Amino acid sequence: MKNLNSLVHKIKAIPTLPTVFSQLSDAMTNPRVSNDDVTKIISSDQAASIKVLKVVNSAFYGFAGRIDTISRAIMYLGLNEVRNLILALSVINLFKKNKTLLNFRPSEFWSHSIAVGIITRLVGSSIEVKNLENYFIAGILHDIGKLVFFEFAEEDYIKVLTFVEEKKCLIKDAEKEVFGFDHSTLGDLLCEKWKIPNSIRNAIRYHHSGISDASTNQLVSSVHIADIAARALNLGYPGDNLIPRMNKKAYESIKLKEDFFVTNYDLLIQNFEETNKILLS
Amino acid sequence: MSSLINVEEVKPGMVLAAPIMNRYGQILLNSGIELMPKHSRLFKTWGIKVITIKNESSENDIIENNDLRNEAKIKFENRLLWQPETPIEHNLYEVSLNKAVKDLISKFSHEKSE
Repeated sequence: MKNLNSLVHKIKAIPTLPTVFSQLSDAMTNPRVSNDDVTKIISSDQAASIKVLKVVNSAFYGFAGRIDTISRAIMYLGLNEVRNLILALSVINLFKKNKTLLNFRPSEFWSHSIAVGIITRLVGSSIEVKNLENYFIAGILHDIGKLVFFEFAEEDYIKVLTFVEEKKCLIKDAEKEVFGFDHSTLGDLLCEKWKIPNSIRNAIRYHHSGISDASTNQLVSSVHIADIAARALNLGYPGDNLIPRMNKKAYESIKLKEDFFVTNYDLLIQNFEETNKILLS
Repeated sequence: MSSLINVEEVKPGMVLAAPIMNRYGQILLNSGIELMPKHSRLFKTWGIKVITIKNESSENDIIENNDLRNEAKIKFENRLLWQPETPIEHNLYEVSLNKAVKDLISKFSHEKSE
């Protein structure tokens, strides 16, 4: 059994997020920063700027073709949401490897994560959360700990995937069996290293139970529900193909409508296909 | 696919594949309409002898789709660690099962066309 400390030590070797993201985060801590300053930082990374514009103009955000510059994107979506999109793109690029372990492919992993991001935001919107800026990114990052295992404990992760195949169990249980802890714990540590905001960090840490403290509970519950829905709808592949039960406390506490899934199905699939294509291209 | 049939052969539930027009080209009944017993009477009144109806799926297609539906259900339920109890669980179950069926049918038709 590997201990957590040795993996934590390895996490130190994880590349930091791209300059554009760290510059952006630093700039945002400065109360005197202007939108022009931020626009300059984002525009310095052309590939990221183009993808951000593609995403904000997709059906998912609903600004079809109306946002043609980064400064407009900031104006319509807010600085935090744009920063979060840059974060999503940065992390996907960081781990978009072609390497496959058994039947676990990063592209399928990201498709699952993108689906969870989309459903999380749709859940948030349906329960009328006022500030949705962290919803998409929390879904995208919820399983990030799996990629740390994947990247830094390859041999043991093959044991995890073999265990899943043989025992037909959830990947988190196989991880606990092999490592003694699962990807939610590891994801939490990565968030600490990357200084990810607390609400997103809680969603990563508690997405299996769907329950957290009152201040972040809506987001945590939304990610929990979205994770299970993405599994049920077979969107992407999270490392096992099982569908656990949603925690009743999670959907009751956020008062999710009983017909949420049937009402949002078409939109969900359309948004998933479009966003998946943009982010993974 | 559609076929031309005598109005005497019309059965309720058949779907009109082309609009029925009078001699002046005015549309009396639009295509896509599901025919009911009253339509047979109307055809007689209008002096219509033949109409075009959409072909139903062949019996084989229906059996094949039913088999696929059952197969999709079994596969889906094997992945499911619970049985639906609350309304929202029923909602997720139905939507997901329908998608599983659609995915399998489209995979099957794709394989068939290759």
